[in-house]
Amino acid sequence: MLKVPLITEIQRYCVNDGPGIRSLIFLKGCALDCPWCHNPETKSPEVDIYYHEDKCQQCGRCIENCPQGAISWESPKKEAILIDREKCNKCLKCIEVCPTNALERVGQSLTINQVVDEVLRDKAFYETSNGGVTLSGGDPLFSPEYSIELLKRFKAELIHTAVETSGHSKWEILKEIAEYTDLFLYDIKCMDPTIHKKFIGVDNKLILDNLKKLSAIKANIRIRVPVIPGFNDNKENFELMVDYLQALENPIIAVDLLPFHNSAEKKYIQLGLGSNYAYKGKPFMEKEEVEWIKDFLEKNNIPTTVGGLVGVGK
Amino acid sequence: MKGITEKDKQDELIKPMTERARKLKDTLWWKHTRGGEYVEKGVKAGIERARYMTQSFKETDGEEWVIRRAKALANVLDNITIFIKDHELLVGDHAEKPNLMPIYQESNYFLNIDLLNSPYCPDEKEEFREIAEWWKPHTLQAKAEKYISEEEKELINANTSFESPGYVTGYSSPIPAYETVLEDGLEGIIARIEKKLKEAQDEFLHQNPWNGPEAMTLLKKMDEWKAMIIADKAVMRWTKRYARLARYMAEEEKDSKRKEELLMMADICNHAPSKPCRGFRDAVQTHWFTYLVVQSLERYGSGMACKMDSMWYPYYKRSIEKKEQPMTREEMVELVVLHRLKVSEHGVIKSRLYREIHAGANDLFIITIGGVNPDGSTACTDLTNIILEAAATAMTTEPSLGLRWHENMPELTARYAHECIRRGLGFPSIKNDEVAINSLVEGFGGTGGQPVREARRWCLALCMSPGRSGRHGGQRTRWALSSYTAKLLELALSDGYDYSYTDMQLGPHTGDPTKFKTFDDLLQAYKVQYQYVHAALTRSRDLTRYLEAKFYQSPFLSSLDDECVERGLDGIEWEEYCIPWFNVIDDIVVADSLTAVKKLVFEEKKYTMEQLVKALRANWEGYEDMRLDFWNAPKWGNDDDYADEVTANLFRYHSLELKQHTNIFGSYNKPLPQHVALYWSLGPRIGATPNGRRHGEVLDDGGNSPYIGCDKKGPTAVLNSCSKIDYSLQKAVLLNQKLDHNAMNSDKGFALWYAYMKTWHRLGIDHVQFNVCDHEQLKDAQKHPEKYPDLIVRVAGYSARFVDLSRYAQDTIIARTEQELAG
Repeated sequence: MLKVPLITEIQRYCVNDGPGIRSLIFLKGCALDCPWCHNPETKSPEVDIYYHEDKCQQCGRCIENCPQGAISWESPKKEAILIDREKCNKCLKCIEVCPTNALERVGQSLTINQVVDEVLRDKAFYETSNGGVTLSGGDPLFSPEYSIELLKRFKAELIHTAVETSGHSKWEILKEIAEYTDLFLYDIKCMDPTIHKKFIGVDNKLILDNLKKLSAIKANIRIRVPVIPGFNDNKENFELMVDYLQALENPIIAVDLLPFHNSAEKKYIQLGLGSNYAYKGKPFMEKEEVEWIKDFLEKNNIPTTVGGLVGVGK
Repeated sequence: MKGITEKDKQDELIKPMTERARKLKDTLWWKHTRGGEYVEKGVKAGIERARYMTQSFKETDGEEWVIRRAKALANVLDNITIFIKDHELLVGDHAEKPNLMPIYQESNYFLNIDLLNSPYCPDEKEEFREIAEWWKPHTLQAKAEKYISEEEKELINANTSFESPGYVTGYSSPIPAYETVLEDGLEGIIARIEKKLKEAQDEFLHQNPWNGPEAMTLLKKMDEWKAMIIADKAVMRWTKRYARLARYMAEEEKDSKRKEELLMMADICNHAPSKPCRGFRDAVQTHWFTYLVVQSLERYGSGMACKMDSMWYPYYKRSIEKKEQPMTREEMVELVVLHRLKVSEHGVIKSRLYREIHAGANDLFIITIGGVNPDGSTACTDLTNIILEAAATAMTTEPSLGLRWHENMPELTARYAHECIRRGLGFPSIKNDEVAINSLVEGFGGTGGQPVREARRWCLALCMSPGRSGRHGGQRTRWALSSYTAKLLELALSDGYDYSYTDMQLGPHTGDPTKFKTFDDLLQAYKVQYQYVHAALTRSRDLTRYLEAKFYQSPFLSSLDDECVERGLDGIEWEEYCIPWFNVIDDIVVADSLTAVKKLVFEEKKYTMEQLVKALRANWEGYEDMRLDFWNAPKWGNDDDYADEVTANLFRYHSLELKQHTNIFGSYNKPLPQHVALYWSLGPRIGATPNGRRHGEVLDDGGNSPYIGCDKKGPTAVLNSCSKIDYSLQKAVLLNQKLDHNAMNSDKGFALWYAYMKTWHRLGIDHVQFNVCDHEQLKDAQKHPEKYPDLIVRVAGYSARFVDLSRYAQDTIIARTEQELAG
């Protein structure tokens, strides 16, 4: 029996995650715990509940109907509700009774066929733009059987496939995935294993080893580096990265620098994680602030973009 | 077409405006309207057209009406004040001063009354009052009212379930045969007509044996030919007045460069439009003079229908190859920019209704470019690119461009189009060439279809509607009228009674809606309301056409058409290639409403019809949960097969039901779902609707565009939904799309858009146009309008300057871009 992960969204007409016009599949579940994560709703493999305060009409029906008594008014003014996420057992009764969709379920269980049907709807756009489908998340490697099955189906339909991943898994899994993947969008967060472990919870040995092996089997790889202030935006990190990348058996296509942004802050609040979010109120990084990294990498013959690739062609 | 060179890279395609164009643009009198009023102070009606036309009509009492029309036009052209502005290279106006507009006092007396009581009345108010009095019984409106009932008059005046007919509004939209004037000159045309007239006179006077049935038809023809000659000669005298004025100004001119220009203009105006055009300057001037007479002086005609690049091309070629009137490419771009500025200053006095419908604009000036030639090869040339370049250079909302997108569209032309769109112009609006050609070849019954070579000459008559262009057979007056379908659904849900706006029985009794047992019962009631309105519309349009042929002839327009000349026919009388349509307004509100009722009432049975009717009457007040259920029901535009099926079926019904009505020439109508600015102005007239919309809220913004806030799956899903409609049953269908400002302006912006367009074409969708707006910029423009005089947004069939729109209209545009961010 195939283990079916939850999917938060199949987003169509995406132009930033692989070439051309693409559909992105966001799978829930990730082995890493990056404190700046832009998709916090995909970290946990479990179902989550969003609370959209702006849609709430303060009818109180969720409070009345919660069997666990996990929902209460945030303050005596009754302007918003508060979900006790510890008490909540995800029965989702509150979502059923909410008339305005202020409470929203995050994570649907979709069969392989359902996902493939939805993705195939935009096939004409993939063909004219050299686009395709991108598995993202979370991390597709967190649900290997399902991801492999999806990729197989897409390749059978002659659709270009990309996988956006942390690279943190057993090599055997990644190796099998590579058979059906036209392009990897592969994250390298930081070269120093200690810092990596301190911030993200795991060290980077497995990730870097896997990348070496992927390169050896001639996978197409773009490296993605989220540039996070105070974490990896130092010269030493990129010097180490250059050494590492240059030692790979086959060259990568390019490095995409993704300057830190804070647009996920609202999602943390909607998930009730606002107080845990370490980057609350931190300003967005300007494109200019990472230009020095781009210059440095390019000086070392590594093609580099800021903001990743948008559009058609590799 | 050569490939894209480095030099063609996007930012380098468009050069800044020339000094001359900048100065002219800064001093333009914009005629835009906002909230039903002209925006710029001092814009008003001029008396001269009305004065000289009336003077002539008083003198010609007793003569044939068509002769009177021609003589009246001649009197206007001989006496109207003319002027040439500083810096101009292209001359000619339809009123005595640049801030003024002529009056069409002969079309409807409502407009005359409106004018007398508005700030736009001519300074000579008493004179105009007398003119209006004199015309009242002679207006098309007064003549039509003899044939209709008081009841129908009330429905027309209510203007709530359908648009007032042409005999009330005087609205028209011809496709003039400019090609004959460009190729033969008016002298050539007159020579042809004189020959026909001479032959007919000889035939009539000397026929032996006498053949009555044949010979007696000659009388009417002779009158028509005489009228054509009077009109054409008057036009030549008028343009030569411009030549004399230019020569006179040259003599006075101190600046030697300007003196030279004025002498050149004198030469052009002396030549054009009397003789065949020599080069590009003659062609542009001839086109403009002809346009002014056909669509502003002889009578009012909306639009600017022509296949401009094909029509100008032979003269472009002679000038660029330096054979005649040598010009550089830069000079041509400037001249086209000057043409755009002429159109931008061109205005029309119109009723309050049309001032509302065309909010932010003055009139619907649409020029068609691109597509294929009669032999099937691409008609896109460097001139096509020049026309697009001039639009991106001038950054004026008018005239709008319609680009015929065809198989193997040249990439360079696509790039120029992308430049216009990414800069936020809102045009070119893009039409699927093959869909339009197939529709014209198939025909609409009656007079039948056209040979494919002829169909390939098509241009847009107005925003959306393809018609034939070229030397003969183009549309001569307006074919369309509009029905407001969301109101018709409301009537189907209220036994024909309009409780939300007029308090009148606007439609037939279709039964108590709470007794509807099935979805088909509801649909049946809707169809009866739909039929009732379209019978009335077909009748009123035929009546208009009948009266136009008797009292509103256009001898000048007719003289341009080879076939009208050949047959001695006024264009209005001729059945041409009859391809009529009705604008089906707010159809997506109907589609989403039907989808929600089908699902929630008849399938899931979550609500009863009784509850629904109650909630709608209460404008959803006290029924918020229920409203949200209806609002969250499946919606058109999300590639959702359930909603898309109901919608595609509705489009089909709309077409099949229209086939039951046959017009004066034996043709049937096809629906043309589109909205102009009616989606705002109708808001207050249409009560709560089952798609979850409240009374007063806006309607959908066009054709098959999803309702605002309801397309949640992005542009590919919208196109997939749209591909489920059978376009062969529709005259055309308008699609508004919003595209992300950042993506469109990125390095790969063109490549992405190009791929998107290729898919759109492959899916066989009829039309698409784009709003590419920066959300923050729009918000800032609301606060600081003075900073954004050139910020342009797409409204529906046309573009408008954002600052010219009412607050309400601005808010809906901003709401549309907010959706883009959320999606």
